Parts: sequence; C-alpha cells; structure tokens
Amino acid sequence: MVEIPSKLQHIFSFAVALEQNGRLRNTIYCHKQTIYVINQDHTVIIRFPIKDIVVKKDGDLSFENPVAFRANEFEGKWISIEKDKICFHSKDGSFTAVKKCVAPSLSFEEIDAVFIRHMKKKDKRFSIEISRGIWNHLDESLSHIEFRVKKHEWLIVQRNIFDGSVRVISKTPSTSEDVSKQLTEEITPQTSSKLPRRMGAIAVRSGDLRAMFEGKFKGKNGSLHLIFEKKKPVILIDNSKSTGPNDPKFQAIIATCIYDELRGKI
Amino acid sequence: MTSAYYENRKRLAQAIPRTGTLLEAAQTQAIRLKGRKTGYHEYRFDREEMVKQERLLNAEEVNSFVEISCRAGACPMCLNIDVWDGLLCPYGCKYCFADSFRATLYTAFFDNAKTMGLRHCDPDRYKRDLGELFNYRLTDPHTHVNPVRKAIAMNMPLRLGIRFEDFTKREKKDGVSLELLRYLASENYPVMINTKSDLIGHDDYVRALADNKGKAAVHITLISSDDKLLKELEPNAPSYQQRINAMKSLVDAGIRVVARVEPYAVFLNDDESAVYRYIEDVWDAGVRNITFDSYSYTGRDPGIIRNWANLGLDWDRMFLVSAESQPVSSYMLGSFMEMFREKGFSCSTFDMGNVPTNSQDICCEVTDLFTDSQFNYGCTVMAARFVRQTEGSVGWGAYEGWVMEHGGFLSPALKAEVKQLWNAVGNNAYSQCWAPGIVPVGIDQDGIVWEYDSDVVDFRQDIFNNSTNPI
Repeated sequence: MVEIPSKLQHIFSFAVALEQNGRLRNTIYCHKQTIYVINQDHTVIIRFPIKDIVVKKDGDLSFENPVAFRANEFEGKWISIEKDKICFHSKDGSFTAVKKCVAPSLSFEEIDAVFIRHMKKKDKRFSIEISRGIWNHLDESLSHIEFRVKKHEWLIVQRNIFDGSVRVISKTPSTSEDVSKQLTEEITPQTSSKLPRRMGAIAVRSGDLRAMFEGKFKGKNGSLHLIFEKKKPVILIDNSKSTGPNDPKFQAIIATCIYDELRGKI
Repeated sequence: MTSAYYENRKRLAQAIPRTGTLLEAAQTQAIRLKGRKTGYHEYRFDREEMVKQERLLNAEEVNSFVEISCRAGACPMCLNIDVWDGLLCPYGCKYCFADSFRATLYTAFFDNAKTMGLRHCDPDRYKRDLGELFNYRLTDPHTHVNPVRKAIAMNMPLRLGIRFEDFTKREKKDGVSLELLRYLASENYPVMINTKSDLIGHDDYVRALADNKGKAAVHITLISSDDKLLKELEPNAPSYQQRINAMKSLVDAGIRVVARVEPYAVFLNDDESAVYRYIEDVWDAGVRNITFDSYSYTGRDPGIIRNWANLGLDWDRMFLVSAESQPVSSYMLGSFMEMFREKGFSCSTFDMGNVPTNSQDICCEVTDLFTDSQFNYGCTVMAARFVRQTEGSVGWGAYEGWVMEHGGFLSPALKAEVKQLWNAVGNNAYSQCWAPGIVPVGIDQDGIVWEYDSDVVDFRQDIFNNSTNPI
C-alpha cells in the first residue's frame, strides 16, 4: 500500500470532476508514465504524462502493469495494485477498508493506440488559443460549438434551435478598444496568414470542450491550445507546455461531430 | 419526388451534427432497478418474533381497467381500457418509456413485481363492470359526477392499448381481449385500439370489430418500412409486412385503420426511400388515415438512453431535434406530415404546434367515423380547434359554452386544468398558446382572449430558418 502523490490525486480528482460536469462518466487507465482519462461516450481522451509525478523506487508507486478503473471508484490516497486491479485503502481508527475496483472492458493499449494515431501529424495544422473567459461569450446549455474560418479569421458559432438565435464570436476590428482587447485575449489565432481562407464548420459538443477547462485547476486566465488538422475527425488540445503549479500538463483529443443525415452509428 | 421536408432535414443536419466517437461505444448493461428488499423481516416486540414484511401485487388479475387518461387535459379520446398488464411488454421497444415507468412503480411498491409475468382482467369481471357502466350510456352527461360514467354517457369510444399491449402471443392463446371485443360488439359500444400486433388482423378479431355496429377503429403503430431498423428498435414486435397485412385484412373488412407513426424522430425513421416505400405500402393496404407524434419529452429516461447507446444510435441528436427543441421538432413534424398529405392521406397529430392544421378535429383521425359519439371537448386540442374554426376572437366563456353543449368537462379538476392551460399556465407543451396562428388579442374576466390568424408568421419556421441559416 502506497500513498498517491498529490499531483496524481489531482488528476484522479479531475477525472471524477468531469463526471459531475455534464454526464461524462470516465475511466482512468494508468501504465508506466502515462495516464489516460476517457469519457463514457468515447468522445474525449485526455493523456497526462506522469514522469515527474511518479518515480519508481523500491516500495513506491509504479504502474509497471496497466491498471484501469472507473473514475467514480476513486476513494482516498492509499492504494495498492493487485495484478491489473487497483485497490483503495481507507483507515478509520482501528478499522481498515479495502475497495478492489473492477477493471473496465477496454485496455490501456487500445486507448493508447487511438490516441497516438490521432496525434500523428499527417497534414497541415492550424490552431486557436481559447481562454476560460471565452465562456462569458458562449452558452453552455447549447449543444454544440462550431469553429469556422472565414476570410482567414476564426469564427466561433453556437446555434440556439430553441429560440432561433445564432451566436457568432469573432475577432473583428472594433471601435471599442475594450471589446477588441478582450476578444484578442480570448481568441488569439496563431496568425491570420496561416489560416486557410475558408474552413467549414468543425463542431464539438459544448460539454466536451467545457470539460477541458476543469483540467486547468486554478488558472482563471489559463488558455487552451486547440489544433485542427485537415480531414482529421478530432480536435487536438495541447496543454503540455503548462507551467502553472496546479495546472497539469496534458494533451487531449476531442472527437468532432459529423454533419450528415445518418442515424448512427455513433 | 423532392420534398420540402428533405430540404429542411438537410438544413437541420448542417446545424445540429451527429456525435463522432473515438472508439466504438461500449456495450453497457441494462439499468438495474434497486426495487425492494427481498425476504425482509422485522422483529416485532409485541409478538417476540421476526415477521415477514411484504406487499404483494395481484399477479394473476388486473382489477382496475377503465380510467380517464392522465393526459385528458389535452386529449379528446381519453377513456382508456386495458385488460392486459405486465411488468415488461413482450415487444421490448427500445424507445418506449412505459416499461421503465411501470417497473419503477411496481418494484417500488410491491415485493413480487419482478416475477409477475403477464396478467389480465377476468372477462366475467370486466363484463359485469362494463355492463353496470353501460347503464349510463346516452343519459344526460351533465347529471354525472364520476368522469368515467360521464364519458360513457357521452358514448365516448373506449380505447385499448394505452397502458399495455393487449394483443400479445398470450392473448392469442387466452383470448381475453377478443372476448372483450365480442362483448363490446354485442353492446354496439364504439371502440378504438392502439396496437403493434398483427393478431388484430386475424379473422376472429376482424370479425369481432366488423360486427360492432357502434363502430371500431384500429391504430397500428408502424414507424418505418425499414425492417432492419424495426428489428433493432422493436425486437419482438411483428415485422413490417405482418403489420401491413393486418392493416389490409382490417381495411378489407370495412374497419377504419389508422397508421400510427409514433415516435417520429428526425434522422431515425425518416430515411427518404423508407418513407416513400411506407407511403406506397400503407396506401396500397387501403389505409387513408395516419396519426403522428414526435418523440416524447418524457422519454428522457436513463434506461432508454443506454438502450440507444448499445445500439450505437445517437440519442442526443435525435432527442434534441425531435423532442427537446419543441418548435423545431414540431416544425419538422409538420413538414413531414405534408408529404403524406400530398399523397392523399388524412393526417393529424397530438403535437400542439400542428393541431390547427390537422386534417381532423380528433387527432386520432376518427372524427368522421364515430359520428354517434361525443369526445372530450374540454381539452386543449379541442380548444385549439375551436379557436381555429371560430371567426374573430374567442374568450374562455365562448369555449366553455361550446364544451357544455357537447357534454361538458369530464370533471371540475379537469376544467380547472384546461382553464389554466387556456391562460398559458401549467405545462405549456399542452397549451394551445403555442399553436401557430393562435394569438392573444385581449383579456376578459376569465383570462386571455384568443384569435386565429392564418397570416401570422409561423414562429416555428422563423426559429428553424434563423437557427439553420448558413454563416
């Protein structure tokens, strides 16, 4: 039985928090120096490198063999590993409880393969930086967020099919310095010239993108780097250069939505 | 054939996309109901012993079989009768929330619900009880306080199949519903059936319905011509062709058949080629009436969502565009129904957004059939139709007078509920206040005064167009 380092506890807590944020119910996969969190709908995979967090020493925590468990099973900081199962230990006075978690159906290797396949660069990429403040302009209750490029400028669009309104966020020239400054801070395209002249809608579920900000634990002004690649059915998110003390480094992929008239298969 | 519906569908698909996934969705187990503790005993100090605590449901017999629907505030055909019941319907339809509701109710209150199987009403009992009720038939409805007696006095058609499927394989063996149909025929009492079963097309049943001089109608639920989809969504229900054959048998015997497309769900059962085949086949079977409704908002049930995920179907998108976004789903349904009208079908729906343009007053498409019956005029669907058909403005007083001429409200509580909905208070989904063209034009001592104005822009269309406009 070993104590989980506090940063690892943060990551596990993040996976639990995702579940409470919307209806994501997540699974955690750990192997060696990598942790993956995948949501129940399989639309989001987040990868946390834990090289600096977990150092293998004699009697210390290591994930030599893959282990996986449902995020909502996370219970306390004392764990042990039995084969591929994780056990949470809790003590209260003279009583000790051990909770052995059930391993989910997918394997670490399967998640790892999907993640690596999508992360590999195959075509031209372009990106957008969005901050937590973007949510002041977005409506979380609306189902989707569309990213578009028009005349080399990013547009973020939300459609409200309840009342017919359409919310369009862009970095347009404005006579009001305040608004311009605010938007510049919140939507900073890499550079306009690198963007294509036009890009049709690439949409993600609002809840999936919103959940990413839960990973940025305390950074109110923290931002996320969203990377788009032509023909790829995912948006890549790179937070690996984070330096915030409570902002874990991570990369993620979010499945983009599909503009067709088919009923499934999702 | 190019239809406006498919243009709309294309636009909607560009505004509300389908969920993409990174891995195939995992199969999950059905949600287990916690239910009651089994074998629960309590220690009784007075008896100094453990005593078993249990409440048992009568697993053999249904005792309560006639009722006024809890949706009577909106429904014109609300006199329900069901002689079969069970914890789970044998058809196991993946979109249906009735099983889930029943399971919650029965397993929460009874200890033996999980083993009950199918149960039915004793024919002697229903004949005796109905016989007593039929004494009130065609008496003055205003003299009755009991809403069921009042409905019988109005000769309101009895409606089978609202709470449970009454024509299962067990029914074929036991003939409980058949005996009821024969009894109703002997009494010449009007009856309407809702079913997915092809049993209703078998000779005995057809004869029992055709012999009823009070008239009979059969709603056969058939949501698509795509057998593969039907097999997925309604795994144990009769096939498409079996149901088409049943329709034909009934029509040939002179019985009103209404095809029922419920639920209609965008991107689920509206595939173009399947819809055109459906139109052809149902028409060729001799059916001329169809009733529709979009997916019920009440259907947002964890068990159903899980069913859909296990089938690999995108629940979120379907629910958003077919139920949650009320105006858009209603607009899509309206344009879907137009396709069927173009072919010559008479089409109606319970969806309030389309009630003013329904082909018939009674959304079950039986107004012209049950001409010797009164319906529940004291409901919001009929209120919308009354406003629609009245020249000029209409206050509650005028509407109430019209209802009283047609037998009155079924109960004071129902009248209060309908009056609230008239004034846009309560569950607005069932209020005529959002029916396109029905606009408030004033206030009187009873509340809002309404008027139908066909020139008013359809707000549903506005919402649809605005939210699906290209950027």
